[in-house]
Amino acid sequence: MTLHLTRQGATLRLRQGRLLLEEEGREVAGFPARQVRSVALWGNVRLSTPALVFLLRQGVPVFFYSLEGFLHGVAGAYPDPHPAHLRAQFAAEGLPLARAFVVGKLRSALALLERHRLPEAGGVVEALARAEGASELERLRGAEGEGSRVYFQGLARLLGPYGFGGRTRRPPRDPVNAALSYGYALLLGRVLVAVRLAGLHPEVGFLHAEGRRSPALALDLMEEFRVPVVDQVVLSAFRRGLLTPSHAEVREGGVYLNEEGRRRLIQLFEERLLEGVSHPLGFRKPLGETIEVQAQRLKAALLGRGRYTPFYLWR
Amino acid sequence: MRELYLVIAYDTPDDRRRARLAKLLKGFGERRQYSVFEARLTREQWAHLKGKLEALVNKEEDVLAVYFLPPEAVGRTWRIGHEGLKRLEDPDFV
Repeated sequence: MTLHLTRQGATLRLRQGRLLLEEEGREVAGFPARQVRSVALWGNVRLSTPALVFLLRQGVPVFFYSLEGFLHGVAGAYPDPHPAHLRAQFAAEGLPLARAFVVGKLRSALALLERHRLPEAGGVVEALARAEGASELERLRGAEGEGSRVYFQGLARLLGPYGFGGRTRRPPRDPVNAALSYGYALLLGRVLVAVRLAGLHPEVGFLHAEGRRSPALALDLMEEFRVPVVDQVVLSAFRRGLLTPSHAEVREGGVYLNEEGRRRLIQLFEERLLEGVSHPLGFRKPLGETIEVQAQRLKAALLGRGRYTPFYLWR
Repeated sequence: MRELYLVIAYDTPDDRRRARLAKLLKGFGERRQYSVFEARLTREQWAHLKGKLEALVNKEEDVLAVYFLPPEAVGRTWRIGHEGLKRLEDPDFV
């Protein structure tokens, strides 16, 4: 199970094989420690050292998020990447991999638009063709940017009633963008852990710029999962009324999800990761596991074992 | 990582051992009935638990069995009852 701890000021402790959440010395919840597969701490939730050490030893990642959905970092006792793998990562030819990430993303975007019979699909097809034929990184990034812009225009037709007119970030300016930003932060945490588990260096990327010590490789791999994980969850949440503009609030010049909104989105996000999806290569796995599979396949490709095939929605 | 899905059921006439078994198992799985636990464990965790159970169970007086469920069977598990019966993989919010 994934534990999401949002109770401000509470402390997670380890006692007799159980993880207990305490508030002012009172136990408010308890879990069998060995059932826990990941822990997300939201805002000011404390963790005792024995609990942290237990989680590190069990290989359970601990995510530190702000209440606004910023991923401060992940604690995990991962071995550093193997030097030979690190060299392979540096020596790899970046363009084919960068193209795979963009193509994966745009194919999923196209599948989503087609599912809703939106006319913007044509624009995404064009961007996809340009991405597939791009011989330079700059052109590839251009095709990606154009494809995403058209894709969000398409989504705006469905999400317009909830105030969405296109993607805005840093800060998000409407409830749908608030949910998207929050969802991408959740997703980044998962992809970052998958990259570390695969023994790759998260900052050595191919599509994203490496400046400002951003986790470029995690951001690269995340491209193929934005649409199937986050966009799809946010789209259906608003359309089914599970998220509404009342779940967001204006704060510090932007629009952010409130407590109930965060809770609902996290729940839907976790449910989505447990759903089975068909990989383009034919096998079927829960979406959450597919993220780890893709990180492993990426490593194999970097080591010269096979070609990298991105994940995308295809039926 | 392939995980093991197991159901543990036990019975013992000794109050002290019963309490110690429950205390041990509460760190590994969810209690489903008084002496029935359900757990999803890695191979290492199962090896660790097995060692502890071997040391704790009295082979003359007690019975304890661990049933391993294949993934298809886990997917087909039917549950009815209050929310304490939620699936082990479901996320928790506090």
